[in-house]
Amino acid sequence: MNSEETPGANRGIPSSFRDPSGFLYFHDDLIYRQVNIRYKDNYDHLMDSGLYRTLVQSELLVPHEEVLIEYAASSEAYKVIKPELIPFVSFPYEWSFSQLKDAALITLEIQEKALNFGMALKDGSAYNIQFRKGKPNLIDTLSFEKYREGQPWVAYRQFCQHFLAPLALMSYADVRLGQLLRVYLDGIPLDLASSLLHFPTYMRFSLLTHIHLHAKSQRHFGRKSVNTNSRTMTRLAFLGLIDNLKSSISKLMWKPQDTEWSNYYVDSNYASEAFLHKKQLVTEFLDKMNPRPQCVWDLGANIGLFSRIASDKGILTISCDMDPACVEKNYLECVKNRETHLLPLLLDLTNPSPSVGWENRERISFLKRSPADVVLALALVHHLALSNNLCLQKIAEFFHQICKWLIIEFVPKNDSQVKRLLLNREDIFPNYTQEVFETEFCKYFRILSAVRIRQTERTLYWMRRDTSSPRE
Amino acid sequence: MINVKRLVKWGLLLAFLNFAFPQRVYAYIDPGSGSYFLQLLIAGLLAALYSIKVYWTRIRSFLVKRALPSKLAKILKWPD
Repeated sequence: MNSEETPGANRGIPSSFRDPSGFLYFHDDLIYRQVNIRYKDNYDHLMDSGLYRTLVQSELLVPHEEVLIEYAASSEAYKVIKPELIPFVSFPYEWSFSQLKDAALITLEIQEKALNFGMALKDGSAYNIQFRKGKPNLIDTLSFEKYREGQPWVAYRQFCQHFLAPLALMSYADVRLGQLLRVYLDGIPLDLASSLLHFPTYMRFSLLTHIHLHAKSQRHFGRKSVNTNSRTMTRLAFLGLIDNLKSSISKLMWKPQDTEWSNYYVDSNYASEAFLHKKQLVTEFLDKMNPRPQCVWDLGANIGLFSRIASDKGILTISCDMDPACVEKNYLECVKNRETHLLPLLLDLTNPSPSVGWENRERISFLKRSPADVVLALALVHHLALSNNLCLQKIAEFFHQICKWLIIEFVPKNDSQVKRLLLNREDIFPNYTQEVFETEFCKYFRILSAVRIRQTERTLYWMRRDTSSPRE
Repeated sequence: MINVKRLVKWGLLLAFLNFAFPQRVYAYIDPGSGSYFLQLLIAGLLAALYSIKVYWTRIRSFLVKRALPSKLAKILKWPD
């Protein structure tokens, strides 16, 4: 949008267009945020009151530095700031239950602290939260406005739709309902949440109030023209609202059940020696990469056992799985161990997050966040090929698009896991062989190493994207 | 405590039908009239619950400090 005003210099970020207080843009591949003149008072209060320092010191807000006004993208600029870059952006529909819960709780914690400094959050969007060094952080520096005595919380509706409703649905109905966030970008409509939540939720004061009555209130007042000048909400009531939401969200629980995938390492045919050998090979391959990789994607990561080989080396590792129980267990382990370089995400590789929102550009697709330096595809190819009927040529082409280095495991048909996959169906995969696998992948990659994993029929490959390939 | 909660729940349902206390709201995101009115409706209740919580925490803390020698309280990691 603003790139037109400074041709060739700035590139607007499609998701940053709603707030008239300012916007984000790229300049020479660095991210900047313009603070508009109309936000001057609020920005100055944020910086001068001590709120900014408090939030940054508490690792609740992404830090920024002020840069020269010459970097401004338009004439409305009051200041230009350069926020610390989030190396990998993720979205609420890619988070596990506890990730969304932690994001909700830090939003409320920020609101509590802001009130001590005479400010309030003017929006409660889950998209304003990103995971930085393993913890949720607020990324929108312009989310604050000066608190006006007597004013209710303007972000209340949005907070309930973005956080409380999905968490209540995931906790009380089905964890997969979190995926409604992918459809409803401004949060799950409260009337929908209310209709999906069972009767016991009416017996909980907070859910009765913030979801069921809230939905009815929206319906009742939705189309009414009303006088808006008579009544106020005290500061004590404001604090009471935030405290009530906080206690409500803290009490929401979801215990990941033992699913097929979250028990994979218990039920599978891995001998401990095979497992150790595979770990050792992945470590060796990662160590040999030059230059040292900055970002690893572990696809089909399960609970992140192999992801941690990379993240323990200080490499940012995105650990993806399609099973909510696996992602939840993975995240809880990250929290327990205070891991800073691992980000578990919920992702179905056969249907990855698409680009959605305004112009289909507001929230970018998972694949547009590529290429990763390294992709780990361990015990994955047979699921793509045999459960999802993808031919090896398509799989090779796909990996070629998303990574520079590839560590991939081929699981042949005589492996017990593959036999299980083919147990109750016709084998229509004559081309699923190691020879075809190598032929197809050699069209896009150079195989640097191929090692048979001890005590298994499987082979672990280390490949580099072939830049001389005509497809490059 | 349980009885108070029940009273609150049903009282809230009845009160909801009778209230409408509006005020001007400034926001680039529409807070929604329904969301706005609901906050005003439950404001008094939330303020009361919050006050009780804060004072109860203080009273409990005071009693615990008086009842237990400070060293023992530290060993037990009793909340202040």
